[in-house]
Amino acid sequence: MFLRLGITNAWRNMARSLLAILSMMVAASFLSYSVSLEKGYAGGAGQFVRRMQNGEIIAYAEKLSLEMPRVGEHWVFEDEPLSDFTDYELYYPEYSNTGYLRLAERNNYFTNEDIAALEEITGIEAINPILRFPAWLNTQMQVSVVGRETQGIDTKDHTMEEYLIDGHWFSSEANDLNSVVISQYIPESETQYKVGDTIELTVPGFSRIENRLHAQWFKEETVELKVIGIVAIPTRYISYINSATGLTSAEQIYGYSSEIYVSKALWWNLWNKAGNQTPYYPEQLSLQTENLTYLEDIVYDLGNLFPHFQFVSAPKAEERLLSNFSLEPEIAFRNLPLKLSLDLKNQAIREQQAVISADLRLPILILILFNAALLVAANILIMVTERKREMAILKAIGAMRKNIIAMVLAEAVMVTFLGGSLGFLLVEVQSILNQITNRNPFFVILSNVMRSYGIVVGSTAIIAIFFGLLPAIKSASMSVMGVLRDE
Amino acid sequence: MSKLKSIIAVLPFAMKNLGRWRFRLLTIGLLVIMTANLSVLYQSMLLSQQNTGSLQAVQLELPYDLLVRLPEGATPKPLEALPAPLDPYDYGKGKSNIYTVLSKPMPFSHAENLLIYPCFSPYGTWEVWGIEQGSMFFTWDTLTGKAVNQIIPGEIILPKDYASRFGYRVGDTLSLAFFLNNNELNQVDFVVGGFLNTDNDLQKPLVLKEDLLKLTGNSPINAQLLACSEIRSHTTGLVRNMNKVYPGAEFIYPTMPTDRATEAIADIQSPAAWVIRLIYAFLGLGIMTIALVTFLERRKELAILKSIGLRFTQIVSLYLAEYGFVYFGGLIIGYIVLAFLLPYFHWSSQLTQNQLTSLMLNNALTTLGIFLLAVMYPILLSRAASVNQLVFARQIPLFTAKIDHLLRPKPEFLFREREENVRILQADSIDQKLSGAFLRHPGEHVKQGEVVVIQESWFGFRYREWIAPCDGTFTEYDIYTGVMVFTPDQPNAPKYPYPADILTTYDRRQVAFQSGQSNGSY
Repeated sequence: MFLRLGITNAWRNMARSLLAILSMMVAASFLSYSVSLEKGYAGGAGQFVRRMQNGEIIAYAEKLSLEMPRVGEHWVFEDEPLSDFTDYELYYPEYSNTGYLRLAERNNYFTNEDIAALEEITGIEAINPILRFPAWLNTQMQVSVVGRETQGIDTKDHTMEEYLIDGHWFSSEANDLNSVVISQYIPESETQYKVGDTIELTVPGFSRIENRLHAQWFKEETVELKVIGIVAIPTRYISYINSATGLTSAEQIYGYSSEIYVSKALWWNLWNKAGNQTPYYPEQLSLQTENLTYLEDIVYDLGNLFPHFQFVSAPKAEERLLSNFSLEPEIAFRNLPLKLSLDLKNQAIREQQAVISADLRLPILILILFNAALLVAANILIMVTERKREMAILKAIGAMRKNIIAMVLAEAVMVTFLGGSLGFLLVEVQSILNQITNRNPFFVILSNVMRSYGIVVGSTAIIAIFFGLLPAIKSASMSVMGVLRDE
Repeated sequence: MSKLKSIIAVLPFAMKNLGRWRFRLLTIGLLVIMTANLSVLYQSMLLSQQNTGSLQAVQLELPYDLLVRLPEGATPKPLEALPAPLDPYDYGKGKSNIYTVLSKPMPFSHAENLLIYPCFSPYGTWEVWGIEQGSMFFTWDTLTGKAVNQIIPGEIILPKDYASRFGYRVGDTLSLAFFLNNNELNQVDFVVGGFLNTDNDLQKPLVLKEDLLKLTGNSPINAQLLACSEIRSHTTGLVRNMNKVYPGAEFIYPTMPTDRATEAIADIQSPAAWVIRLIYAFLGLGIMTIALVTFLERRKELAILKSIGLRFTQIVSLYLAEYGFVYFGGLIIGYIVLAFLLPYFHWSSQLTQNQLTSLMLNNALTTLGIFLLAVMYPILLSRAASVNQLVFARQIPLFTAKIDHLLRPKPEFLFREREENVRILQADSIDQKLSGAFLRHPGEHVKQGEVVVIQESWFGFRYREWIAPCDGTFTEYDIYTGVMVFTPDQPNAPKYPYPADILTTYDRRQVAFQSGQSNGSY
């Protein structure tokens, strides 16, 4: 009965209860957010980068992202061009012009031990070294030659086959030993290649000087390769109102790529011929994960475990590419209205050196929970003060101390439970949807959600009971006669 | 003097209240102590991270003081056209003890033009610098071991470490291939003339500027080397001032990595500003909640004080004395606690005394501002409340008004007032709904100043009374628009003197209507 009375009281003072519920909601939302760093991405997030990279996380041996300095670390300024054996140039085009800061004790490549250590990390399904070297295409433009799996070996999420607009992917290693799949748009190239064309690839010599790979352009060799497929990499989908028809039109924008794809067998052939026994250690890896639900958490953990390497998630990389517009050729915008295409291009921002923001979840969380607790306590205190008379009467007709405490606590717990659940739902809906799109089994999603829910509601309930108890005890111990006389 | 005395008279009462409300004032005190500690510790951690971050960026060893890499299309300016690059004093807070700062801006003392051009070397892409004959920034060792700075056409000077890295020696021939504008490659052989004799950073192969111009088809000069020794002691305003003459250019100077790291760390720390704001917002919210609860509980006390004639200044001084005591007490104890705590945090040793003092002062002033804001609401309530409202725990509106005329009368109201000799008022209605209470019925006689309608709005913060503008009869009202009409007893009863511009607008329309130019709608 006293519990019901407490709940009725919360209902009676709707405005004040709502305020307390709201503050608890904010606290619970933040707590839910903190239980996991990010609430995951939808199954299709960063799709084109994931396919190009053959994984969900890109790992670079040389670190160019700045974060809070660690003890003993030093940053040095560098104005050398970025390594041709990674795709840094694509993601960070500004660095080559303006220079950049890098770790003084830099890593130049991933050793086998590094890869083995990375494989141990929970959540990482597979690690693919990115086979990449620079070459010249028809002596006109520099491209990156990337070795890819032949048909049927790539997983569905990572295959480039879906982006083929003409021709076919490598069917088997024997047949396609001199075949190449080429992008529809290549930067600085006006030629559009067709299936059946023959291209001339100028491969430099490779040598390792001071543990860094160098391309020796004066020891070049030329090979002829047959184009068997053309890929068009879809970057963004833009919908706009067509002023002529007044209807909504949509346009798929395709991107530049200076990567040309060969089978792994051909790649190794070319490397061995040009490298003259130079061992190849990858400077870039792609890490495949099971799903995107906890992708940012994995990236965050990797950053802490391997501070000398740089890790970027595919959706973040995609965001970066789309913000600097270096990826999309003029021709890609040809179907868009002029104003829209100009507006889109004007969005291009000049990037400063990438920074990793510090993890401030803990201090913010403590503060928000403290504030929510203060509001709950204040709410209960006001309630107790205003209802002294009512409680005195209840005591006078035989309510015991524990009954009064139960009544006050019921209100506090109900308010926090409601606020906590609402706050949790507010943040978690997105996460649940993301987990569904990641094709997680129902019971996995349920256990993930219930675990987070338990943490959030449990912590808020503890706060409510602790901070509600003080005013409850105060109200239970007041003298009946004193109150009734004063009133 | 008597005013001062009256203020002092409430102080003993405030002291008694401090004892009475000791627990909740203690809570406020605790909040102040916690906030002072949290905010100073947190900000000092950020500061120390900034200090460490900029110290951990290695400064560049350069033979010049400033390299300007010009954007496309810009040409280098002569020495006379360049401004003094630095501000006269250092704006950077807390850095005054690090840098020696001159009082007068120093101009550049020397300038040299430079052509920077990329090329292919046997070992990847290189950037080659075309320098002036007799450049004062570079010297190198030749075969004879003699340091010179006269570069010969067809000669290339290599950075010191290229000898060990790539195995070059003086006299070797080196092939470089330059890209020309028409996409053709121009391959040229240079003779290694010497190695730079300093271990400076960012060293590049040097050739004669004229050689490079010839090879690249008179490519425009795209960089400038400058000397100004003051840049080595501080860089206040350097980028800002240089950007005025070379917009969009890149500037490279010895402390540039430090500046870049500082920028990046500020970028990383930018969300931290929200944490600081949150700390103070919670302090404000906490004080306000407690102050409000206390106000609600002391309504009767205030009612008695008001009824025995306590003035507003005395009420304010009562509040200020109570909360001021808590503020100063909390702050002093907070700083004592801080003094004990600081040594346990490793970053505290990196802070200068100036930085710490300014953080504490900053915290004290912010807390004071928050205190004043948080206590403002109960103070305003105490001022606005009548004894009645306090005793019977009624709602206390902060804004009250008595209305006996319209603020912006419509022309038709003026027309009726003039033609029918009535007085018109209009209560607020939203979507043809009137929220308020009529205290008089139409047809009843009212006295001038008598309340006819009361309305509350803004969640009870605003309270308005519509009062009868004259002695007379409350003849009609419209429940949808809130229009009320009063007919005065005396035909000559004075009307509200509306401003002349309102009346002339009405008259002009009236004339237009009578002359048939308007259809009479307003």
